[in-house]
Amino acid sequence: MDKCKKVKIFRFVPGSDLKPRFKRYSVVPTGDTVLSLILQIRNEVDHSLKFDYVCRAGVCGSCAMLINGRPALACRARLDDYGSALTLAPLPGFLLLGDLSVDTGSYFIRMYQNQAMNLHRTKEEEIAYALSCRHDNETMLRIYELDRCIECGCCVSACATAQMNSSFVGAAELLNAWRIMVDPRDPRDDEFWYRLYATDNGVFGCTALLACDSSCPKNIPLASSLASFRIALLKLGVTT
Amino acid sequence: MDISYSEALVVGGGLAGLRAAIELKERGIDVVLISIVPPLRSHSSAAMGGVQAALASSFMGASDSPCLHYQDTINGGAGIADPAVVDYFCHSVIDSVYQLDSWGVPWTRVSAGERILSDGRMIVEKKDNHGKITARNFGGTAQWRTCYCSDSTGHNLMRAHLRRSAAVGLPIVDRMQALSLIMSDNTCEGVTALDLRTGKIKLFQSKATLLATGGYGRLFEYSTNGSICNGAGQALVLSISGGTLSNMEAVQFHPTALMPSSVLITEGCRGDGGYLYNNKMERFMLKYAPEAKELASRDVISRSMILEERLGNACQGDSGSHFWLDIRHLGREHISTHLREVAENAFCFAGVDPVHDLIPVYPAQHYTMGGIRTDKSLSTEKYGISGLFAAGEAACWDLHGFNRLGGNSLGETIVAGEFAAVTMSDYIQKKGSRLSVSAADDEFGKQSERLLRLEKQSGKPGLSYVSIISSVQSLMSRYAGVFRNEEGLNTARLELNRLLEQEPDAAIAGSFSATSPETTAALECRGMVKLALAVVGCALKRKESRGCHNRDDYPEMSEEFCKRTLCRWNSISESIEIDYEDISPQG
Repeated sequence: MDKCKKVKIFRFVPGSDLKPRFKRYSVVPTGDTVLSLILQIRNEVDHSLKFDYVCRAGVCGSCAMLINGRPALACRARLDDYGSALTLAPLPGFLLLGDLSVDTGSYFIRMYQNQAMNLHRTKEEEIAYALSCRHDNETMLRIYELDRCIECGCCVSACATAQMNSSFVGAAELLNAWRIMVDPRDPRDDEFWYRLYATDNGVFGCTALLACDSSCPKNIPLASSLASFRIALLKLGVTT
Repeated sequence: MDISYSEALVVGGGLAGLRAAIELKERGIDVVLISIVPPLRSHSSAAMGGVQAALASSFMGASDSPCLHYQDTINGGAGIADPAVVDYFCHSVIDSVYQLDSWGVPWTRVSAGERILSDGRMIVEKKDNHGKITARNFGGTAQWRTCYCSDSTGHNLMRAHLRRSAAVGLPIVDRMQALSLIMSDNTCEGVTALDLRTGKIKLFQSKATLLATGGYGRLFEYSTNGSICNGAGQALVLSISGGTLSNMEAVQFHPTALMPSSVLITEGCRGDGGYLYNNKMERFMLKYAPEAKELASRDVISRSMILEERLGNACQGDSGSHFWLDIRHLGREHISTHLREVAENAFCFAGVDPVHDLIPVYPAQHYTMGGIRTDKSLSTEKYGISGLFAAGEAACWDLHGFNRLGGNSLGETIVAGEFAAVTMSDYIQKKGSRLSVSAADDEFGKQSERLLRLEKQSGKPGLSYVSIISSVQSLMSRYAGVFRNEEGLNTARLELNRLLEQEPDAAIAGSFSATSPETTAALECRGMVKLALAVVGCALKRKESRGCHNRDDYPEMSEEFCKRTLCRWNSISESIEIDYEDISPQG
């Protein structure tokens, strides 16, 4: 049958399998997406196949994997856009938990910890502050645009620099830093971000290969955001 | 044995869980949060629409007040919403929205000047209000009240909560599947959980435990919910002696789920002026709700769609019936800024571009109003269990009654999360420091036994757990959907009881691994069958139609049933016990 898909899936569960391998499956897909295909394999052929998914609608960021070598969300990847052969592998650059499942959770918990703010106001002070400020919708839309990251990890996996230098923080973390820096409501001064990211493992570690930008499933403007962040920190470095 | 002790334990990393844990931490309480997925994967992130709060900042919400919000919510709830809870909520949610603004939520703002609405009316936003948090229109509301961030409000709230969690130093342990509650007599002292990284059972002992595990929408085949919304928390409570669930038959169906994938298309589409058509390209809602039209509440529209289908007026697509949602007239500019996710999803999952094309939609399960019974302060104490609390979709404290208004669930997570933390910290201050060692030991033993049994059974011939769960899901969508009747519900009950009997003989197909997805399914399976029996049992017994619960055989609302449903599991007869309670007993 010509509707038959030949799928090669990376199989390895650290700690229980001896060595990694690719397992081949032939499936006549009942759905339209890569996620529906691997769900079909899990439900009908191999109940043990490990991968992550929750929302199946491109908002939770769980199901990122390498599809024919490129990082993408399985739920948003339409089978029509690929040929009759598919190769699926886990995202590189993250700890492998098993088969297609990787530990993106720890990366992002660390990101939030790196960027944590140690300033506190009481709830009353926070409400009073919010009531005292007005913000143009343009400012909010700009922040919203930078806040759309779903923490899928595609940009980190696609980044050659991150793959060669595991200390490089990666695009997602830099984007989130820039997102907070442009938010007028965040009380931290720009020097805070300078101290954190004006380093070789921070924004100056980026070699501008821009694979992050082209692999972001949410089309977040990573290239221009990272460039803006770099310029902002450069200017700070010149003036201080 | 791997044991973690803390004063408070939060199960669930969605908005209700995070908000509660942040509050506990800020009150100086030693708290741990466990979640089955990394927190941002929680279903809270998928909430698009927004948060109803009567800020009265925009032109179309200028005369809004908490009283009007109260009135709308009570009306929506069809007699089952608790006035005291609704009153508390409608006032508190305003503060919460402002507080979240200071946490960096990019709320959409009022822009001063003229604006033409989708119905052609021109309005002028006042200069005074420029830059304040604006609101959009949602179904069943008297004023434009829903604060939002484009159409990913839940996602933006989650990100703000995660930044805050890090700021207060909240320990988050992800990939933990809660297995059971640790019970010392009638007091909950934490949970046992399976570490999905290592396959080891861990004990999380604590003085106070909050279940913020979300709803049970995944009991249904056609659902807008994420895969993890399978009633884990409700199942934990149903499995303990005296554990009480409430209003389990109150399941909301969203009228605009994208066909055939059941991916949600936000109510914001209709709030912003979208139309619904049948196969004759008639706006059929003009017939069923001449005033509210497409902005009638969700239960009304879902019901109308099924009635239209029975008249032969549904469109027939490759994968079944559907109706059309039309937002073409809103224009590219509006769609790409205010309804961006809609455009992306419609294209990806139905191959249509809403700027030029109609969107195929049909009702799908969306929200569960029922859940773990708590009192007005989110504690289960009144219902016989101490040390246990619940918040968000996991809980039922009668905020939504029998039909939730769009924009009231995100608000509930933050208001209830914060309030539960206050109740928990009071409880912790009063409770002594003693935790029962033998209760924890026993529970660890039981759960180890359970895993061992799965391992022994694996590879043997038998029904698969995955197939039992899919049978449950198709039974529920078929017989416990928008319209229900005695015959269908009885069939479902019979079949579910059969599945319950077969479950002990089910087996994992291949070789056993504690972290395999099949083991996860095996551990959830029996709980899901029991929960489905609870929904079906409660729906059978409620011989009336009210809110989202529609009985073909009892189409009228009945005064006799103006009560909340309570249900418990009888472990001797292996069946559901149901009784009723007045909505507002004094006190």
